[in-house]
Amino acid sequence: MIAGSMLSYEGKKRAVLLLIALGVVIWIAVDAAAGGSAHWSRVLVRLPLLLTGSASGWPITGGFVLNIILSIASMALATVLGTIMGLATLARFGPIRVPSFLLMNFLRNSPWLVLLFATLYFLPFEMHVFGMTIPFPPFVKAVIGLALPTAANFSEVIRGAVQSIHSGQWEAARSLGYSTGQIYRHVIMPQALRRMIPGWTNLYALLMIATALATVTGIQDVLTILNTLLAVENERVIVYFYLTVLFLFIAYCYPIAAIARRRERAVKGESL
Amino acid sequence: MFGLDYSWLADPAYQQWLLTGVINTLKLATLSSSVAILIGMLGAFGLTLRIFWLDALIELFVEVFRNTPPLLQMLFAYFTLSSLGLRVTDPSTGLSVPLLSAFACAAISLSLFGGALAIEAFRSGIETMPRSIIDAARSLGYGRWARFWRIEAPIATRICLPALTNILTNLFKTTSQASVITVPELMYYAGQIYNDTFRTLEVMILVLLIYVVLVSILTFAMARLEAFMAFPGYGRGH
Amino acid sequence: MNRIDALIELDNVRKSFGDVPVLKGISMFVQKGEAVCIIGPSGSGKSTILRCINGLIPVDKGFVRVGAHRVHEMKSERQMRALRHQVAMVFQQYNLFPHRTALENIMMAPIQVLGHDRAEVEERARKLLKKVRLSEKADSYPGQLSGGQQQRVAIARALAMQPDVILFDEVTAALDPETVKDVLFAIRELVEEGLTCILVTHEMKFARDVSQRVCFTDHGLIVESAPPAELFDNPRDPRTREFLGQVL
Repeated sequence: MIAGSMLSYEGKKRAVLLLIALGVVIWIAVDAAAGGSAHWSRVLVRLPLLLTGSASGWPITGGFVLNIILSIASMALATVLGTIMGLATLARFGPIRVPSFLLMNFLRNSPWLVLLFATLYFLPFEMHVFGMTIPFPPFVKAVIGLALPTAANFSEVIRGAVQSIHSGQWEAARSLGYSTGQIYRHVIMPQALRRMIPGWTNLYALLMIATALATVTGIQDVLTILNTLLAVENERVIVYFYLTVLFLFIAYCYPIAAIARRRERAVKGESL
Repeated sequence: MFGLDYSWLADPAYQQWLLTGVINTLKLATLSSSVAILIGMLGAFGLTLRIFWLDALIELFVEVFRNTPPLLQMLFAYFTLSSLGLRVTDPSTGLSVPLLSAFACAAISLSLFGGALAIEAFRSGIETMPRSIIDAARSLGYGRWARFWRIEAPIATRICLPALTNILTNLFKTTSQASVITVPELMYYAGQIYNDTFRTLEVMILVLLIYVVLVSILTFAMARLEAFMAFPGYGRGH
Repeated sequence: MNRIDALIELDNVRKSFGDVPVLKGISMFVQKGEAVCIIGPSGSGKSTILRCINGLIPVDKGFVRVGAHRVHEMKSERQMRALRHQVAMVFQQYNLFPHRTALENIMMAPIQVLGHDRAEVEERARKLLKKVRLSEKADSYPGQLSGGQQQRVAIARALAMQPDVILFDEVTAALDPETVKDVLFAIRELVEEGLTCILVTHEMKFARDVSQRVCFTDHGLIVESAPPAELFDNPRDPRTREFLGQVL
C-alpha cells in the first residue's frame, strides 16, 4: 500500500501489466513442471520451422519471416500505388479524379480475403509481355493481393493529410505566385508528410496482421506451416502452438502500432 | 463479356446458396457488430472510472485482440477451445461434440476483435471531448454513471461515428474469413460454387461485387446516421 | 464580518498543480445574498478558487465550507453531489451540451439529477428562458446560437437547479463585445434579486456597478478585499494600484 501510493497512476497500471506478464511466465513454468514440458518441448523443436520454414532455421523458405517479407514487399508496392491513387483523387481534372475515387472506394469496401482470392484467380500463372515471361508465383500474387486494399487505405491517409492542411496555406502560397504543382511540392507535401507517417505506420501493422490471410494462396507462411504441423502433432499440443503463433504476431505488431499511436498524438498536438 | 461465363447463375440451386450465404453473412455481421459496440461502450466506461487495474486489464484486452490476425483468433477458437474441454455430449448420439459451433466461434472472436477496436474508438471520442463539458456536467451534480450515459456517451458517440463506421465496415469485411472455419456464409458458398462449376474467377468477381455493394450500403447508412446525428449548427467534423 | 453566518467560507486554501503553487492560502467569506467579484491578472488563481468552492478541484490544504457542506473533507464525487445541487456554475466556454436544444439543456439536470417532475421543470425552464430573453430560441441547438445567447442559456441552466449560489467564471471573456451587454444585464438582474453570486471577471466597470465587494488576487493570494468604491478609487496595496492602472 505504501509502495502503491508512491507510484503514479500510469506507474500502477504498468505494474499490473508487469504482474500479469509475470503471472503468464509463472503459469508456463508451473504448467511445464506439471507435465506440460513435453508440449512446450514440441513447440521448441518446431519453432525454427514456424519462424523460417526450415527445420534447422536456415535457409528461409517460409514461416513467420516470410510473413514479414511479404508485409514489407506489399507495403512498398502499396505505398507507390496508394500515392498515385491518393494524388489522383485530389486532382481537379474530373476524368482522373472520379475513376480513381471510385476505384479507391471499391478497393476499400472489398474484404481483404475476397480481394486476395480474386487476385489469385485473376492473375495468370505467368504473363508474356514483349517476348519476356513474367511468372506470377503465389508469393507475388499474395504481394499484389494484399497491396491493393492497403494502397486504397493509404490513398485515404494521403487525402486526409493533404486536406488537413489549412486552406490559408494554399491562399498564402497562391498569393506568392506558386503554381499548383509547386504548392504541392514545396508547401503542402512537406507538412502533409509528417501527418501521414502515423497513418502509414498503423497501416503497416494492419497489413502485417492481414498477411495471415496469405495462407489461402498456398505459400508457406506461418499459418500454412502451423496447419501442417497440427496434422502431425497430437491434439493437446495444438493449444501451445496457437498461443506461440499468436504471441509472435503480438510481439511484432504491438510495438509498431504503439509507435504509430505515439506519433499520432505528437502530430495532433502540433496542429492545435 | 471478357470471356466470362455466368450461365451457372441461372441454376436455382446456386442462387439459393448465394442467398443463404448473404443471409448468414448479415446475421454474423449484425450479431458481432452489436456485441462489439456493447463491449466498446462498457470498456470505454470502464476506462473513465480510472481504476488502475481495470485500466490495465482493458488495455491488455485491446492490445491482444487488435494485434493478432482475426483469422488466427477464429482458428484458435474453433480448433482449440474444444480440445481445452469445451465439449458437450450430444444426447441423441452419445458422442462428445464441441460446445461451440463454427458460427458461435466466429461470432465470439469477431465480437472480441471488433470490441477491442470499438473500445479504442470510444475512448478517443471521450478524450477528444472538451474537458470543460465534463466539468459542466460535474458541476450540475451528475454522478459518474449518469454523466457517462447522459452526457459523455451521446457526445462521444457522435464524435467517434466516423471511426465507428470504419470499424463496422472492417468487421463486416472480416466476416468473410469465417469461411475458413466452415461457417456457411457468402464466401463459404462461393467456394462451394466454384468447386462445383470450376468458374473460380467468375464466382470471385460476383462475390466481390456483392460484398462491395453490401459494404457500400453500410457506409451510406452510417453517413446518413452521421448527418442525422450531427450537432445542429456545427459543420462537419466538429 | 461574522464568518459563522457566512454562506461560503474559505480558510487558508492551498492548491498546487504539480510543482506550481496556484493558491497560496486563500481566505474569504461570502454572506447570503452578497455579490462578490474576484479580479486580478490572468494566472493569479481566480478560476481555481471557484473550482475549489464546488469541488471540481480538490484542495491540497485548508478549509472550504458551503452552507453545511465541508467541501475540503469530501473525497468522492458521490459526496460532492449534494453540494453541486446547491452551487451552480457558469463557464467561460458556455459548455452547453451540443446534442440537446436550449430548452432541453436547461431541463436535463433537474430531471436527470434532481429527479424533479418533468412538466414542472419545463414550466420552470420556459420561465427562465423568458427571463434571459430567449423564449423564441427554446428549440434551437447550441451550435445555432451566438456566444452571448449560449451564455444566457447557460445561466438559465444554472438557475434551473435552484441553487443557493452561482459561480460565474469569466463568463464574458469569450464573447463578442456587442453580446456582452445582454449577458451582464441578465447577471445584474440576478444580483438585484438577492441571489448569492461569486464572479470572476475582467469587466471592471461591471464589477464596480454590480458587486458589494471586490477581491483582488495576485500570485495565488487575495491581496485586497473591499467594497468596490473603496477598492477602485482608493486601493491600499501597491499591487492593486499597479493592476488597476493597467486595466482602467
